[in-house]
Amino acid sequence: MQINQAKNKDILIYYIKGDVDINTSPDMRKNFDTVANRQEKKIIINLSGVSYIDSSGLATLVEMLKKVRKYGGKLKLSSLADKVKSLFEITKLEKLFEIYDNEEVAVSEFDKQ
Amino acid sequence: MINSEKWAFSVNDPSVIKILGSACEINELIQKILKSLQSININKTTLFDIRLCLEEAFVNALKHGNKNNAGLPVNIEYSISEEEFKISIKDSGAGFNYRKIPDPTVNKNLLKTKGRGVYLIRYLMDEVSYNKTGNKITMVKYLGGNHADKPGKK
Repeated sequence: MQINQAKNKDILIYYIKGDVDINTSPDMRKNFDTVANRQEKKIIINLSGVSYIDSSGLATLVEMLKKVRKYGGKLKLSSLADKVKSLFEITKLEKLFEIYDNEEVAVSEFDKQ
Repeated sequence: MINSEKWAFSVNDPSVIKILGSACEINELIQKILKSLQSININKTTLFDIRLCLEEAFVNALKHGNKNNAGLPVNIEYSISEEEFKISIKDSGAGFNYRKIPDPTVNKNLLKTKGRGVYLIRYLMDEVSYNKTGNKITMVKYLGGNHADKPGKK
C-alpha cells in the first residue's frame, strides 16, 4: 500500500493506493497518526487507488474519523470504486462518512462550509 | 513452505485440507482458490465477494478461533462447480454464537470497529451456516447455472 499527501489550500488530501485489508490497515493507521498529531482540520481521503477493502480497512477508516472528530476536524472520503462504495452502503457506513464522487467535489464542499 | 502438490485440485473435485493456521499458508490457499475461480470465468463482482468472505472467515478462524496460535490447525473443505462455490472452515477454538454479535449497521454501533466481518459474510454469500459449537462456518456462493442472482440478505 502506498500513501501520499498533498495540500490543496488548507485541505489535506490523503491518497491511498492498494488494498486496504488486515495486512495493510495497521500501516495506514500508523501513518495517519502523523496527520492526527498535526491536527489537520480539513482532510479528504482519496480512495481512487483502492480496489479492495475488508472489514479491518473499514474499521481503520472509522478510527481515523473518530480521531479527527476528537480534535474538531472534518474528514471526507472521495473517489470510491463502485465495489468499495457498495461495502460502505452494505454496512451503512455511508451514514457516518461524507462520501463524494471525486476530489474536486469534496474540496468544493469544504469551501462551502 | 507448503508442498504445492498438497494443494492441487481440480474444478468439481471436492478438496479437504487440514493446515496449520499460519497466515502465510492461508494466504496461499486463498490465492489458489481465487485462481481456480478465475479459470472458470466467474465475474469480477462475484470474485470480489468470495475473496472478501474467505479473508474475513479465515481471519476470524485464526484470530478469534485459534487465538493467533499458528500451531493450531484449521480444517478446510471446499468444492467448485459451475453452479456454486462451497467452503467450510473449522478452527480449533471453542466456538462462538454468531447471533450474539451486535448488528454493526444500527446507528449506535456505526462508530464501533468490530462486527462487520461476520455481517459482510452473511450479506455477500448466498448461504451461510455454522455448526452447533460455532467453530465451523460453511459458506456457499452461487456461480450461475440455474441460480438467479440473489438479492440476499439474511
